[in-house]
Amino acid sequence: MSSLLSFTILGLFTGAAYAIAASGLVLTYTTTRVFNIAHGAFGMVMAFTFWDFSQRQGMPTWLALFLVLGVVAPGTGYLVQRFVTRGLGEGPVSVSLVVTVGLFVGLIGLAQYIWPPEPRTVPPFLPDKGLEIGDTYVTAHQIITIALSMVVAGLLYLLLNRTRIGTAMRASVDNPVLLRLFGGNPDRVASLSWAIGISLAALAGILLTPVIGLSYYDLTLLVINAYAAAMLGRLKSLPLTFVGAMGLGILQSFAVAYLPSQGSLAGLRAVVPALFLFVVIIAMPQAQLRIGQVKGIVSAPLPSFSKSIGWGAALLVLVALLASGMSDANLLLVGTAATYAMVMLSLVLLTGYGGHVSLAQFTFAGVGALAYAKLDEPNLYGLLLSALIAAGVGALVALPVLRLTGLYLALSTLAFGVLMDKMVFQADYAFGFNGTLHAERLSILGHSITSNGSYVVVMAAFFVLMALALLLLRRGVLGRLLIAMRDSPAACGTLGLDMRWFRVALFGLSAGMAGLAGGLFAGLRGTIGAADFQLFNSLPLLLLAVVCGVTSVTGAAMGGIGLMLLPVLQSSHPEFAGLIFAILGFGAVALGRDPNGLANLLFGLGRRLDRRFGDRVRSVVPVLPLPQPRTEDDVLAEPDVPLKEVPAHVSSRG
Amino acid sequence: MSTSRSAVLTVAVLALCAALAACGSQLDPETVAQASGGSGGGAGGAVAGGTNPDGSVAGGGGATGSTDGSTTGGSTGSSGSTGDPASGGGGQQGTGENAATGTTKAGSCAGFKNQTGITDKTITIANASDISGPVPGIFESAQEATRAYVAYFNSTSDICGRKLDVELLDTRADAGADQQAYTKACDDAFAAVGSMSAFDSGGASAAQSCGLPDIRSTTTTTERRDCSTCFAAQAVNPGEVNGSMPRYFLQKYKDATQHAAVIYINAGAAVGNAAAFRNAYNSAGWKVDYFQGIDVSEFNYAPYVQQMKDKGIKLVTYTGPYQDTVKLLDAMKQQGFEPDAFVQDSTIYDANFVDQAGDNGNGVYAWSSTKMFDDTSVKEMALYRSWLNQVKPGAVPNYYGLYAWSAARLFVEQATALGGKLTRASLVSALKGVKNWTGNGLHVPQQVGSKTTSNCGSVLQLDDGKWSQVSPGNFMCGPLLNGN
Repeated sequence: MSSLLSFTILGLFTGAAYAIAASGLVLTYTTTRVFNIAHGAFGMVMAFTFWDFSQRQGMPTWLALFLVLGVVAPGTGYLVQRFVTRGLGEGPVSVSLVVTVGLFVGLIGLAQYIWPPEPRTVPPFLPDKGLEIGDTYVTAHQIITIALSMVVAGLLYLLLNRTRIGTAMRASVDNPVLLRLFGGNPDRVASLSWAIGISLAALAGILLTPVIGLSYYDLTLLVINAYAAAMLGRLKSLPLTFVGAMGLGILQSFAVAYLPSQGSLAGLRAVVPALFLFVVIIAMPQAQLRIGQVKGIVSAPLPSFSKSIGWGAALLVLVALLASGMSDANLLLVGTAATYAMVMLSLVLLTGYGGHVSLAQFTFAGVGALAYAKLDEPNLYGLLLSALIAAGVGALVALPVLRLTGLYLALSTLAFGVLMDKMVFQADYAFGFNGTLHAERLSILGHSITSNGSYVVVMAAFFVLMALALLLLRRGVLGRLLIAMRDSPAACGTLGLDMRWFRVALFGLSAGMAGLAGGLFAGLRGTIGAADFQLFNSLPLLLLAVVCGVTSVTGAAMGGIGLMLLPVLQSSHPEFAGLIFAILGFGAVALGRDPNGLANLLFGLGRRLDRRFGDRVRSVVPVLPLPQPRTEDDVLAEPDVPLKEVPAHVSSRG
Repeated sequence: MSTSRSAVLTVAVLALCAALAACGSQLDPETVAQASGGSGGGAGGAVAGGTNPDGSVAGGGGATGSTDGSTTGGSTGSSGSTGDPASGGGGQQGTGENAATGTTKAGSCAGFKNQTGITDKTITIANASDISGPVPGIFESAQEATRAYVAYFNSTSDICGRKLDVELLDTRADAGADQQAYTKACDDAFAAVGSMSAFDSGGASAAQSCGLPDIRSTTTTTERRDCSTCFAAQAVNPGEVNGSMPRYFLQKYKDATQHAAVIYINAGAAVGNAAAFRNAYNSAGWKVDYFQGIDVSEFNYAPYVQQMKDKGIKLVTYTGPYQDTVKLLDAMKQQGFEPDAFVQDSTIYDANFVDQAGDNGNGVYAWSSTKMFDDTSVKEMALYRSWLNQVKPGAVPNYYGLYAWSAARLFVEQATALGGKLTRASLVSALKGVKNWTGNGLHVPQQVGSKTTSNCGSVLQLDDGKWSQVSPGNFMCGPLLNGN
């Protein structure tokens, strides 16, 4: 009994940490409908700032606390709302998720750049004080944390439910226009929410760093556990969030006490928060469709089929030329880029066309790679089977949450990624702990592709084939359905379309594409392990996909190359390693609202160049066919009469 | 309008805070700490143990001088530092067995042929270590030590008229990058020397397929160990456990070893190693009552400590990074849990651990297979520190660096002995016969050729921020235990 009490008390501390982190998350979501993936990263940066003020500069603790909690954090929150997240809640979930993932990565990079790695410590509050409860000693710092978690929950509840500004905060998310008509200022209440939210992140960071240490990743990881607690309150109810946080903390403590430390159940302890999150999401009620809005985006131009084939052939020729002249080491980099590009193609389907976000797309690639290595069938049949297995797993992830909308689907992929990382990939029947599996290179029709150059060309061919298939799909009925469902689920629902199973199939197909890439990657590498497909690698993948353009094949190709180059650049310029991450993250923040990304700018550049120099070039080339329709919007019915050439000065005016 | 004004105000306040931070950055942290009346931090780069008993600074033999070659580029495929022989700086010079080629009888240079990585003037060796990645600079010490040895060698010697050149490659804590690095090394270098990577499985097949001799600091995966051309100055065979450590504690803390805990970080090689330790310790006469992994994202260690209290644990061994050791020791202190002994490998034989653990670190034991870094009675240690200071002034010696230095010496001695017969194949063949390699007394005898775990070591204890050896003699040796 005393043991039960001890573990309950110790679990309360964990729960209190989650509660503080989760309450800030709930506040920003419930008032602006932006789920801030970067909440933990903000806490981390604020904790570093607190260290800088209190330890490095030697300010008194109270002053450092005041500056961070009262000035820097709320000021940052205010600025973030004003310049980054304003209006995001009204847009597609995929955009707000990508922007906050961008903040997440950018803040980690910024922290690394400002505070390069070195040991740093933040002492606990009242280090020598504590309380003996039964057989358990509770430090003053832990008591402060638990007490503050309750105070924060109570104050926030009062703020939202008993004050005028709190009511305005809640009203701003339900109907900002109506709030404005009643004399409220939705922007101001949103700014206030973000200011308080980031201050709570800072408080969590400052309270937790004496315990978890001052590191770039630990606090961000911890807050991901807090998502589960926030989800229990459906991201709205602060009391339920508090209960969820405490429950999760105690559950984790009991897992240490009562789960066996050896055997198959031993791994459960590490995934308690992820399981908690998964169960809570599955138990969520049916999501309500929001009416009265079209969240559509103007898609990147869709090339004609002949043009697609032309570009695909050009890419293959380019890769073949590279393969003939490059060193093996560089060819491995090209093969890696091709893998990333294929995984990004799967995101083009899922996120670009479908409007759903996967935070664990690399995990599906890992499933494909695992299946390919385990099947030991290094041929097209084995590769296809690996892709099918990954597709099946993808569908299984979407199946339990088919009643829910984008955010919950995205978070379920996050929970799935954690479960796969910690329970499946490292299991003896998979890669094993720190283990690897051998994978043979693919053979096609009995011909084994052994040289790096040939294999890379084959990978590029798979990329081109996948891209062509994707464009065909986009052009057809399915593609139009996808776009319609992305732009207005409510309209589709009104028309009687059942989106749920369609969404499962979409998820499965996307996972299958990633799985195919994983299988090819396994063949390229020869040996693969769990570390190659870690969950956190999926976040830069998503970011680069969006920055480069998640609605086009060109964006996927550019993103694949960018993601391959990212660590290479960090390695060659170690002094800018953090800065590169920061640029990527904040680049995603800047470009996140336009998922067409850099690729679309490239298309625009092409059109501008064509307008500027096209006629001059055409005039010196003797015979050229009439220009083909360039975009889907440009597609016209074949005219019955021959088109008449229009003088350049007239066409440019048009 | 009012909104934009308040935005400007907020920016101004944040700018003020940023300016405060910037002003603060001009201050020396120690000055700040002293002005605040706090402790001075003291990490300072001093190696564990600090100065020698006689007060002299270990490894201070050389004047700072200019650093030979380029600084660590850390980029995959960056050109390496050569350690220009003409400007060897003021590093110490060894004689006899401490000479750059040791006491090895140089083989005849007749028939020496240029081949991959060997020109008329240079022999290129590659060092592929984790430099960038999630923990920047994690194994930079291995690269620095290899460069240090090359600088030392080039200042006095050559192999059949050729100096050494180091190609620095970054494996980025990624198996894929390790594969790329070794593929490049196959093309450019004669051999790989002193490499250290957390995910060294990636390049194992690349090294073996091109016959590249790879003399690593330490191997971390079974794939690398199984590679027929790969060796390590610190040989490790997973599943084999050094029996001298459990025997030492069985003699010193008989009762405590009957109530032992094996705790480990739930990641990477630690999981498999911990299981082997538990089995081996039990077979050595301990009784492991608590075997527990702690997840990397765990921050509340108190429940684990409570479990140990409930189970009556009296001796704790831990496998994991020193930062987590600090958390575990903190939780133990808070919960009033005081086992008779707390033991870890030499991961905690680190100045940063000493600083961060503070008083909680008092009395902990570290198990080490190397001599202490400030033990300059070992001439090779003084040489290592001196030349390390040449290539990177102020660099802190560590475990992986020490074994990388040892690997570089092993390469040089074997290559020198082969002389004109030097080929990749002949070097691999020679390495297969290397036994009881100590790097001139830097570490316990290592069975480089047979790749078996060493059965010797010493026990250090931390007392008032200073490490000292508490086990008797030079190194204790014991049985090699089967942990499977």
